[in-house]
Amino acid sequence: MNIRKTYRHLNIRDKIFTLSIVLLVIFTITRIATFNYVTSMYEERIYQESSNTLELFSTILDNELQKVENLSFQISTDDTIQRYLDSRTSDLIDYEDYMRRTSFLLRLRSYAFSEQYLSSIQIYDKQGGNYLSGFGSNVERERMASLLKGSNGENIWFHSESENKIMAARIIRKKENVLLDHLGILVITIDMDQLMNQWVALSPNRFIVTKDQQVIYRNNNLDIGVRLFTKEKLRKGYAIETVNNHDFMVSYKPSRYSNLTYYNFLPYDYITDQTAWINKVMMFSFLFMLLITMILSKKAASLITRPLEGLTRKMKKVQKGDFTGTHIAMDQHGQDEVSQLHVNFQVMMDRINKLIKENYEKQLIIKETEYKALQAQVNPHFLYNTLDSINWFARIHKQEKISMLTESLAHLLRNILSKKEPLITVDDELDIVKDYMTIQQHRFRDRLHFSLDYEIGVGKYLIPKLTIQPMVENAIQHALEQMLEPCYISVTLKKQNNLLIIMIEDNGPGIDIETISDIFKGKVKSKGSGIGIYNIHERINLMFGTAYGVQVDNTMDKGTRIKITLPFMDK
Amino acid sequence: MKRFLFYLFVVLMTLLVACSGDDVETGNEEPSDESTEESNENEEQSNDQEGNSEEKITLRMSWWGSQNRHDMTNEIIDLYEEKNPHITIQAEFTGFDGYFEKMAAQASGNNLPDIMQQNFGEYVNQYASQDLLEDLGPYVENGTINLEGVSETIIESGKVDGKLVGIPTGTNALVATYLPNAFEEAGIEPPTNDWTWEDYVNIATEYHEKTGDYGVRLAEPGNMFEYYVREKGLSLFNEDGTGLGYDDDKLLEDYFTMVKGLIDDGVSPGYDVIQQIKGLEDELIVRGETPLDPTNWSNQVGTIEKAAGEPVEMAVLPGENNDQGMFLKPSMLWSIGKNSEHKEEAAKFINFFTNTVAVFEIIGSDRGVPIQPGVREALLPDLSELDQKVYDYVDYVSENSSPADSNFPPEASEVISHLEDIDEMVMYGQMSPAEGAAQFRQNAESVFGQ
Repeated sequence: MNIRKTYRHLNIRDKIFTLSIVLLVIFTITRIATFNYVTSMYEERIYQESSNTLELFSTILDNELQKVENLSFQISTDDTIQRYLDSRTSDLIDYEDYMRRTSFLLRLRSYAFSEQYLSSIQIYDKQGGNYLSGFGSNVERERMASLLKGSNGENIWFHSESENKIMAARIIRKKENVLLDHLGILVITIDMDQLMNQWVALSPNRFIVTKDQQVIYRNNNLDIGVRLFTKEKLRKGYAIETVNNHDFMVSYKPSRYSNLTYYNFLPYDYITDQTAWINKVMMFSFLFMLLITMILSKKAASLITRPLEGLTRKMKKVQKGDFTGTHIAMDQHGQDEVSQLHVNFQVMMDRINKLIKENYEKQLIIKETEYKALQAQVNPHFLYNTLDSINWFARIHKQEKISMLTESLAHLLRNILSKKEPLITVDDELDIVKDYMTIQQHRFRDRLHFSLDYEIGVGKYLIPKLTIQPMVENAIQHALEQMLEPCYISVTLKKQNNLLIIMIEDNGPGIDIETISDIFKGKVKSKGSGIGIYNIHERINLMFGTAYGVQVDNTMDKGTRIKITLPFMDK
Repeated sequence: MKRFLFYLFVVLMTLLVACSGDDVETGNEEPSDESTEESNENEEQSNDQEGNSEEKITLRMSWWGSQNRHDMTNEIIDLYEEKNPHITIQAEFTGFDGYFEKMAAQASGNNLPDIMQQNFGEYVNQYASQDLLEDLGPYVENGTINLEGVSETIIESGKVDGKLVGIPTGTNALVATYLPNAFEEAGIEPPTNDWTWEDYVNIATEYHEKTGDYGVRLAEPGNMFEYYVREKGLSLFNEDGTGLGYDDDKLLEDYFTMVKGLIDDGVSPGYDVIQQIKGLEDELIVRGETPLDPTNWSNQVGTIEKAAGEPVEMAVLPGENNDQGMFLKPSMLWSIGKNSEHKEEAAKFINFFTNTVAVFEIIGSDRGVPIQPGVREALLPDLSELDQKVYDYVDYVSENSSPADSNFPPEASEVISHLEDIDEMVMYGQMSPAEGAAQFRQNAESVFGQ
């Protein structure tokens, strides 16, 4: 847990570095473990081979030694030989003795030639005579005598001081009537070199045969001391030993038959050298990889952290309120996650900048509008009071017409300005229309004929403020002012199905079709301060839905008819 | 990031497996050549022009001789095996006693060695007559065995009935070896090349009387009687090989009488002593028990002097006509058993043995003076004192001798074996010299009459 905590506290660069090193170490350890496993498996396999060779070798040798022992038994119990040795009494011999000895020696010789590796067969008789067939080797008679003591005619193996010769010795005892008299000693000498050449000549292995911890045979001049062959060392059945700067795999096998032990030395130099070499290579490659990892992980870490640090710098700047200059050090190349982060941050900053700008400008407009509205509120009241004063002056001076005109104008202004709600009753709207028409009647006299016609009960319905008055004003502007004849303007309100229909008609020049479609696309701006047809249409759409609205019927040369469709709205 | 690590892990694992896989492979390659030594051997083989592709061949080779000869011959075999790694030579060697018994047993089992040492005279004739030996003529003709410059007489000595069945390793002569120091101590004049049979008996007797030691080694009749007959101007077998070459049994009777006289006087030991001699190194002259031994061959002098550890001198065998009795004998022929499966390789080895200076540098004069004049000349400057002595002796004999008998009939060895048996009986007094001589003729005639 502590490690995790420490790790968490590291910065990314150190994290990546640590991780790479840990991975490298794991990798290397696994590699070494695998290598060691393979090596040991390999060693085991070689040991198997070596052990098989040794098995074969020891079987052959055991067989041959068994054969020699059998031969020794055969010679020591041979009738001719027993008889000759028994009859032998003195050195003075006649022809008979000579011939007996000749046949004795012939017999001995035929035994000696039975195997090429038998270097000699020797018999010492009780008179001290010595018969040899083959090539003599020096037998230490005293040592042999002590070895043979108590052997009771059994075969004894021993070896001469000069190596690579082993001997089978046996006391020849008289078999006739089981007298068991001591007749002589039989010694068979085996030339181990010859035996090896005969049986295992082609083997590249080196063999050693020991008896009682003494080397009795070694081939290839293998200079190895006996001290190596402790059972402990060869517990696994084999060991790797260094002899004269050469490595050998030593395996051993005790003879099943005699008290000999066979050792097989398999040259192992090549393998140990190679193992050492591979270990060295692995060590170097580890160091090399360590270096590479250090460099690469640092590089990789900085590739990740540098843009992040750039981003952090930008963010800090923004934190301090500097929204400009976020474009600096923008990575143009790169599609990775950090670059995306950069781009997104940039987009976000752009968006924020834009919003800030918009908000700021809106606030300005709002302030300005408020100011203008304040100005506009001052004027109507002042104007209204003034008109009231004029009315009173006109009444005093009995000027009826002026009084009526100013009164209408005052009414009109008050109605327009005082009604703050968006919806007003039809009656209120018609009051505005009447006041407006009274004033216009005075202006145009006979040229204007206005008629108002509505069903009883319509007056209580609500309609948007200033729905009818602008239409009438339009009619005066576009129809009356364009013609010389008297202009008829009529306003009709009626209930039709569930709809409130308001019709404003005139007999002016009318509007052509293109102008009508332009009006509904909002392309035609209303003249002066008036509120246009489109504007009213939009307002009704927004308030009640698109099922309602304004409709212009073009009756070219017969005037214009505007139809406003509204729902019934009670208070 | 997690995913990246996962990929990294996968890649690393793959690399790991790949790397360790490499290790396993290299590991497996190495053990195939089990040791550096073996691979070196392989290199040697491939360097050898023809060595690598050839199959491994084991040649059996047999010879007789002293331990000294065996050691030297084994050294030569090692040299040959080193130069021809595909050849393994399995040596079978014994002393001369028993050698031909062993060969006879092998011949009866059709199992003669690939290369065998043959003896000039009765033995080679016997084996050739049984068609047991390969005709070497074709190998000489096709150059496998190079005999260029070898004297015609010597090549002739390897032929039986016109077929070349053996290549001599060298030339030899009978020799009477003596110890000059022993004679000097005893105050007796040592033998000279012009000594007579009388001198022979006298010198030996005088030495025996003065020192009490044996004056001369017992001479077995095999070689000695053949020489004795030749010295009298006759030969052991008649010219067409159908009977004995002498008519008067007095000849053999005289010979028996002379030898038995020496034994009876204690001048020369009897057969019981000779029987106990265990090889050339154990000879009486080597042990210093006698100063004179007329039974040797010139090639044995080296071994005798080495074993004796004192100077050994040489004289030709006694007799007024010893220049007629003496002969040069091709020593120890190399033959190829007819049953051999590798005759070509065996012939190559014989060629190597005959024509390689290094071979004779190892073996000295033990197998006689080389038959190749080129080899002989190459050896001359570096000859040891001893070998020089032997060469001089053989040179002397070659100028003071008559050609060797080659008319040994196939029955010869059997006849000689009868001679030996009778000699033993005569020496033990089982029969008189006259009876022995008559008995031998009777036995010999019954052999020929078969």
